[in-house]
This record gives sequence, C-alpha cells and structure tokens, in this order.
Amino acid sequence: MGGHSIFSFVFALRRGALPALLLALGLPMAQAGAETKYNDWELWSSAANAVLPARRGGASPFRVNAAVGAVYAPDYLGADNMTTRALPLLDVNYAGTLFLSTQQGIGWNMWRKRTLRAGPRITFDYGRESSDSPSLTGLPDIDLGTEAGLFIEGFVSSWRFKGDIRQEIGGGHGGLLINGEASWGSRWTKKSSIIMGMRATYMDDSYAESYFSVSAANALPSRPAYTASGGFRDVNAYFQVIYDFTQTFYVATELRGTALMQQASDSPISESEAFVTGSIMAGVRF
Amino acid sequence: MIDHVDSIVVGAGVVGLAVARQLALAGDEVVVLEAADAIGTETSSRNSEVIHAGIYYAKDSLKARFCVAGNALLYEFCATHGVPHRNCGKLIVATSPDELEILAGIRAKAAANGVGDLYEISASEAIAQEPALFCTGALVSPSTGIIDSHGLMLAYQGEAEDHGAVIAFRSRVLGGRVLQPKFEGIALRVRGEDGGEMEIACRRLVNAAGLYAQPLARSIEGLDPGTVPPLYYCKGNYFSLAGRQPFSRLIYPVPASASLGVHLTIDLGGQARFGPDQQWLPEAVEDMDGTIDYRVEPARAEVFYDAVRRYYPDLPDDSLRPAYSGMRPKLQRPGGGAEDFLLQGPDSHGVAGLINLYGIESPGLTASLAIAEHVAAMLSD
Repeated sequence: MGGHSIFSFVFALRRGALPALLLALGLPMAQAGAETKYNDWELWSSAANAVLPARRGGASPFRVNAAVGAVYAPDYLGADNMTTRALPLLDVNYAGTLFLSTQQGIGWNMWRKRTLRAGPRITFDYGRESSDSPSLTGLPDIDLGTEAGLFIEGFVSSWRFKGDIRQEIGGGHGGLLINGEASWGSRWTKKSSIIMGMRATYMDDSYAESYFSVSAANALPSRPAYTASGGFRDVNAYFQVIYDFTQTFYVATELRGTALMQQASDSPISESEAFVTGSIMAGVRF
Repeated sequence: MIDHVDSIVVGAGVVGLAVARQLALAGDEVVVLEAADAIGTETSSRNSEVIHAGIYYAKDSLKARFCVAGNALLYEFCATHGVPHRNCGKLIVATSPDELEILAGIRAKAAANGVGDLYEISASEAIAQEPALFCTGALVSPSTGIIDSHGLMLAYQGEAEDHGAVIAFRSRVLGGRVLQPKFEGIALRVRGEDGGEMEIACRRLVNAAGLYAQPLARSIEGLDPGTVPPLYYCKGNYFSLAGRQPFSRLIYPVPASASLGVHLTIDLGGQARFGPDQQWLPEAVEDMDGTIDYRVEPARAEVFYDAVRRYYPDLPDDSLRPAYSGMRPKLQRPGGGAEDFLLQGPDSHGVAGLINLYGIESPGLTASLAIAEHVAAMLSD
C-alpha cells in the first residue's frame, strides 16, 4: 500500500467540526437522492472511491473525494429502459474514523486495523415511485427509507473483501439487505489501476415484497400478481479503471454486469433479467 | 382568462384515445384530459384482452354493431400498426345436453349480428382439438382473438399525438359549465398536477371517462341531470393458472346473466387465466371521489374451481392464484336485463358539442375504433 496503493483508506484520527458538516452535507444529499432515485449510488460510484491518495502530512483531519460524472443504468432495478443520469459523489472522511458519503452513507470506522475496518453506518434507500416508469403505473410508491447497518472491509494482498448488512428502520421498504463482495485490484500502468470484482445481494421477505411483489389489486393482464420471497436479489461482476492525472485529479470508469436472481427476475415488473451499467466520473481528492 | 381548444376528450382509456385519434386525424385540435398519470389504468387495462367477434349482443344494438365493425377494424389496425395480437379463435362450449340448445341460440344471434363464421363441432371433435376439454358440443368462433391492450392504446396515443393531439396526464376534471347561449361550447374546471385549478373551454367535449362518466356529466352545469343514467359497478375477478396450461384456444362456457361466464383466456405469452366473475357493488355510483378496491379475495377461487371444472374437469386443486380484477361501468342494474352502450349527443340532452359515452364495458376494447368513428360522425352532424 504505497503512495497511490489500491484500496488504501484514510484512517488518521484528527479533530474537527464534523457534526456541523454532517448536517450541512447530509440533508441535501439525502434530498438529492430522493429526487433522483440513486439506489445503486454505492455501486455506480464505487470506482471513483476505490483509489485514494495516501495520507499526507497536512494539518486538516478531513479527506475529501468529490466527483461528477454520469451513469447509464436502468430506470429501476429490473427495468428494460436505460437512461443516462448525472452521478455526483461526495465523500468526506474525518480523521479516518467517521465518514459521510453519497457512496457509503454516514458511518464510523469503529474497528480499524491496517487492513481491516468495520463499524456501524446509516445508509439511505431512495425508494421508487410509480411514475418512474410506465411499467410501475398503479404500484404503490416506496418512500425514502433510512437503513441502519454494519459493514466490514478487509484486504488480503491485492484482494478486497466487503460485507454489510442493513435493516431499513423507517419510511421505506422495511426489509433487510446483506451484501458480499470480493474484488482484486492491481496497478495497470504508472498512472492507472484496474479492479475486477463480484458482488451478491441477499434480500429478505419484506424487501422482496416491497420491490418485486405485485398484489392482485395492482395486477393487470400484462402484470400478473406475484409474491416475491426472500433470497438472492442479484449478482454482479464489474471491471473498473481508474486513471490518476495527478495525486489529486482522477477519472474513474466502470462497467458492471448484473443478473437478477429468481425471486427478482420472475417478478412481472422485471422486464430485463440481466443488464449492463456503465459509469464515468471525474473527480478530485484532497 | 379561459383557454380555448377545439375538442376535449376526457379519459385516456382505449375509447378516449381512439376518439382522440379519430378527431386528430380529421384535423381537430384535441386535448385529452386524464386524471391518472398514464393511459388506460382502469377498465381498459383490466379486462380479458380479447378481440370479440360480436356474438352475444342483441340484434341492432350498438354493442353488436360496434363490436362486429370494430373487430374487422381492429385486426386491420393491429396488422398495419404492429400491435401484438393473435387471431387464435375460441370455443363456446356446452357442458350439458340442455346447453346445446343455448349454443344454437347463440349461433342464430351471431348470424343476426352479421357474424356468419361460427360453426358447430361435436363434442368428440372439440375434445380431439383440445384434449383437456369436457363438453357436449361446441361452437367455433374463428374471428375471436387476443390483443395486447396496452400496445393498442400506445398505438392510438402515438397516432393521435403525431396528428397534434395533446394528452394532459394528472389532470382531473372537477366540473364544468355549458357556455351557451352566450358562447358555443363547454368550460371545464381542471385540477392539474401541482394542485392548481384552471378552466379550459372547448367547442366539442367527449366524455369518455368510463367509470366516472356519469359523475362527470352530473358535474356539468347546464346539462340536465335527468339525462344521466344510473351507473353500477360490477367487479370482475381473474385467477391465473399456475404452471402449464393445456389449451390452444380460448374456452368460453355459455354466457351468464351479466358476463360471458368464467372463461379461459390465454395471453400472448401463453399463460392461462380464468375470469371474470361478477361481484356487484351494492349502490349506484354517484361521485368521482371514491377509490376502487381492486383486491382479489382468494376465497373466490372456490367458485372458479366449480365453474371451470364444468369444462376443464382435470383442473388441479390449488392451481388457481388471484391474478387481477377489473370494474365494469354498467348501466344494467344488479339482477336486471342487459343494457346497451349509450352514446348521448345533443339530440338527447340538448347541449351542442357534447357527447357522453355511458356504459362502455365489454366489448368496448374491440369496438373502440367503431365507437370513435361514430362519435366523430355525431360531432360533425
């Protein structure tokens, strides 16, 4: 883990006015997400957050990663129609301990070792509205939800392993998600790195009910009633390239292929069982 | 200040869209006002998606005339506009010796309506064609088919918009007033997506609001409420068949009092569903504010098992799943005799430029193009 090593994270513990920053940044971000339905923000922007500059000797306890870009993705998970959306990223890390991130949520690296971190975090599920797609017309909206969860991330040589569990605690789908991910990263050229990985997501009955079930009251000839149960929601594989122009400026791109698993893919609202998303982001880290 | 347009159609269901298309093709400036956020969210999308032949309706009734004419128009439209459909045909089956006489009556009624292609087959012939079937005799209707109703509405919408029609979604009509004798036309009070209200006037108004047609008409000041017929809702529930289904054609029993019986239809994906049954709502509908309960009670499956096993005796236990439901806007009272479509123009109610479409239930989808042609002719008189 050298000067620009893959998956390096900022763990320095410093003091600062974090609560005010959380309040100032967190609410607008949640609002922005609610309006744009970036439920897979964490995935789409993960390339831009994968490589961070090594800790520098400055006085500030903050590390900031800010980027803008675009993602080409389905209108909703399972939609056939793909759209291009603006993709912002703001990741603020305080002293290596606390973070506020459009990608990772709001959390605490409670347990930190050189190659391992774990802790609690709050994330947001931005829900879904029937107006998001003609295929969803007449289905109940899924409101913005707050999720409480635990995460763990570890590194073994060039491998990264991640897992998290998140339970929705108010307002949204009411369910539980468990994610597991393994990836491998390497320097490609002097200024670029590549990452390849796979990720699987498990959903419980409540989540499946909210996102993939269709009640008889909301069913149509073209959208028959369906009861989704808990199970694996999807698996996806991704390939990312990060190019560092300088220690500060970078461009990150990603291609991700996703396959919905049976309970999700069998839903009548899932028009596409498999899809590929792509994103590109340009950002600064300081 | 009131905005003015040539023509307003209230309701973006299959009939409203067909009318809007017809008027737009004739060069009218057309605005469609739709309370929902999408086309065809109620009766138009909650039905059997069958292209009917026009068999069952009373001779010279509007249902018979529009269905027979609409059947031919619809097949031609689907073929020329790429609307998914299949002319799969159907069997009308008798399941007892007594019902064989009813089959004969159905054939005679069809012939009187101009449906001359029905032919009888014996029970053994029918069972040879559909081995899972039980019957004592059957009629074959070659001109019956199935259609993607949403695809049809999209095609109507597309052609209407191509010719200048505008569809305003989330635009609920709250009421209206007849502008005559000062001006020609009708003004409507409309609540938009943002909750704000505006008034828009038109020279010609087509009330194609389906389940809300009568309450809408009653809300128009200057229209004699005595001309508005009572409206009754009759819910139809559908159950789907889990697993593979054994039939290649639609199977209809001889009709019941207010519906065509719990029949088997096959969608374009090959899945089978049974329905609709009849579940009358007890009171006549008076206003537009009520919400419609489209839940399907699983317990109703018991009635379906009995009805379906009359012609599909091997229907497995526990194979029916609640699928969906629809609501018929009926002029027929619970327990009353069948009623025809009612298309009221100025000759009936005295308001120039106003056409009210009442009781547009089945076969409204099949008849949509014929109804649209008729409405356009009424408006041009």
